[in-house]
Amino acid sequence: MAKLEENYSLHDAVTFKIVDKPSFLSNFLGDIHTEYENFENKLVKNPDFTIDIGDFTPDNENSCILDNKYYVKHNYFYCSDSYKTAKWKFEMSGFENGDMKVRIYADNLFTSMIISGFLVDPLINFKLSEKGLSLVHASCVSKDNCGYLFTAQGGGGKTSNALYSVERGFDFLGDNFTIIDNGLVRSFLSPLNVFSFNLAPIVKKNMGRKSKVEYLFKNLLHKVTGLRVVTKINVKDIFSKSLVDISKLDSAFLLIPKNRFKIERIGRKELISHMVANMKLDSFPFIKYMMEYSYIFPKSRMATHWQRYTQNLNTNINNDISAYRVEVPKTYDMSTFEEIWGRIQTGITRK
Amino acid sequence: MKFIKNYNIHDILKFRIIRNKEHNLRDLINLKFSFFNVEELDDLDIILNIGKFTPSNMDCYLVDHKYYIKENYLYCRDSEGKATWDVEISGLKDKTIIINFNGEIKGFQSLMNSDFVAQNLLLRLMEYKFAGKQYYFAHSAGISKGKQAHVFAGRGGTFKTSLCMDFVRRAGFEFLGDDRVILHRDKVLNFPMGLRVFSFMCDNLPNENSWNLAKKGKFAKHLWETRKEKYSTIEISKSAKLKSLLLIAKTNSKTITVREISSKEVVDRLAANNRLEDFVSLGGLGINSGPHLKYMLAYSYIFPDSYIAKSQEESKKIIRDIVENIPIYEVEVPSKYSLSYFNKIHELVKNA
Repeated sequence: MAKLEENYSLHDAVTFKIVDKPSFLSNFLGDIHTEYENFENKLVKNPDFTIDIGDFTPDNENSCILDNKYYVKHNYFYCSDSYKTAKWKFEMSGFENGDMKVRIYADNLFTSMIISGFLVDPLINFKLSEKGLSLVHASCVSKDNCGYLFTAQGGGGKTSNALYSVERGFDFLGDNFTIIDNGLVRSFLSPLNVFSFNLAPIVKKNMGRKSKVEYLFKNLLHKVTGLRVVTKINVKDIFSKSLVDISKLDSAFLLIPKNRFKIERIGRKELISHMVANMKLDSFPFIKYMMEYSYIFPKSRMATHWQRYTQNLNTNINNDISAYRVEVPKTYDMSTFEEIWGRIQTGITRK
Repeated sequence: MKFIKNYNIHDILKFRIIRNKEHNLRDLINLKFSFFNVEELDDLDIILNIGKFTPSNMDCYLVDHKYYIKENYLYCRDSEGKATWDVEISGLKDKTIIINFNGEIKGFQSLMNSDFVAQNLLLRLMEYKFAGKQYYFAHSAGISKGKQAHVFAGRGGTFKTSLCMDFVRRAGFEFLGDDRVILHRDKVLNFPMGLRVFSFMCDNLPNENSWNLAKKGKFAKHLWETRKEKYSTIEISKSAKLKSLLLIAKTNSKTITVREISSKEVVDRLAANNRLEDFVSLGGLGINSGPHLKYMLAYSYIFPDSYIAKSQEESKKIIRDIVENIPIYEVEVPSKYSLSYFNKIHELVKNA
């Protein structure tokens, strides 16, 4: 198959290019272009970084070799790595001086599916940080230019709360990541990952015919083989009228699964320290590469990334934010949504 | 029937390992910590229980569907590579940390490495406990002569072990440790881990990479014959004064380069050197994503003001005190070990 080359732009703040050769199966499983299709932009001229997907020979001569595995020299990192059934080769260069090139080789089809989350999202985070913006592990909805952020680890209800709010007339900015920029939230529209156990009513109702067939087929596949395959659905195909690019950041809800619903106000500083740890946990295995590089170059941009990330959050989140720490049950039910929803409503009427 | 082993490390840190059964060869020959094995022990810092347990994970926060966390406590069921394990850590802030560990390993490795994951977690928590007592449990090798110690820090593959072997048998140095040593201000305390392996290598191998099937056979026989003894043929130093520190990096170029670096520069790097141990593939089991680091991060996510969340910064303070007034060299070495490499380091150490 021919090479597919596509440019992407995140609110003109970070731009990147991905070059790869999609296989006939990758369409079915969701390839890397599907992941970022809402950022496609033909006008991008000089992307901040380029990702080449395919086999390659590393330029790793004259490197330091750590643990016989990680190759590090100034402005350069390479390794071959694996996690469970995924196997990949990863090389990046030019990250210290703004001419960043990345090469990734995915050894099998399963690996192709996790490249975006494992490697590309953290790269985007690194670049956004360089430009003073904060990528956060949070969903966000908005009404009347007031943005409500739901930040959580997996299982905290980022997607569910966002979709629930859209059903009640709010606009949507992202369900997994969003960008905070000087008191504002900017959208980050990644595809919804739909399984049978998290099919929200609004998705079910508005799902296109093609997606529905795909979803039903995968659901059947799961019942027959036990193999769980995600259906990726573009939010633009479901509620295109409920999308906004930007909103003022009004409130943030830190959602932590525990036993029963409990909500308390927290300070901005506390919110930020949770958000930094959240992002670090979400940056595996890339964070490992950052740490390996930092061992040799402790004063580099790569090594100081997390300091910068924290500073940026301090700058980008305004002092007047209303922040809440919300304990939610491990399994959500409607009453949990209603409780959180109630809190948002009171906030609105108070204004 | 319970099998209990007690270990006392220089009266600074005391721990106990309890097993339900003595399940394999590796346990029987008790390689890793045998140097510190003692009969009786109280005031324990860490207890490691190996075997089935029921977790007390009620009223926990759940992070990423997986990590059960409450104040002072973490539980998770984890798997990677050839291993699956249940781990529960409680008393993180107390005098005694209790680790409950139950793991399984698939394939032939289960014969030798069944508690590798537990041992590694134990090392991680020992480091944490040492730091609480103002000691840096360095991932470094150390040798000494006339009570003057030289410490070699470096990632895996920098021939720390081979260097120690040659210092001990060619230059009359005493041994402090080839993987870990304990540092406090200008003092180095020994931590000879797997001493019987090291001792055998000194007597039988040119360097750490010259194992072959015949040598392994000879080693197995030797271990079995000496299983009841605290066996070692080499001179071990209990403690010494820190004289110099070498930060060794392996490169794929052919030359050896040496440069002196500032103590400021080395603090971050020594802290990172320990942290990167979390990513080292354990005993060929294919665990390299850093599960222990994830446990600490998941805990820090819930409790960002806890000592765990700040321990990296705390350990830097301890390291700063250690490296303040000694010469520090960064040494880049080629990827093959040779005597000329040893000679160069020997010269450097003699003149330090």
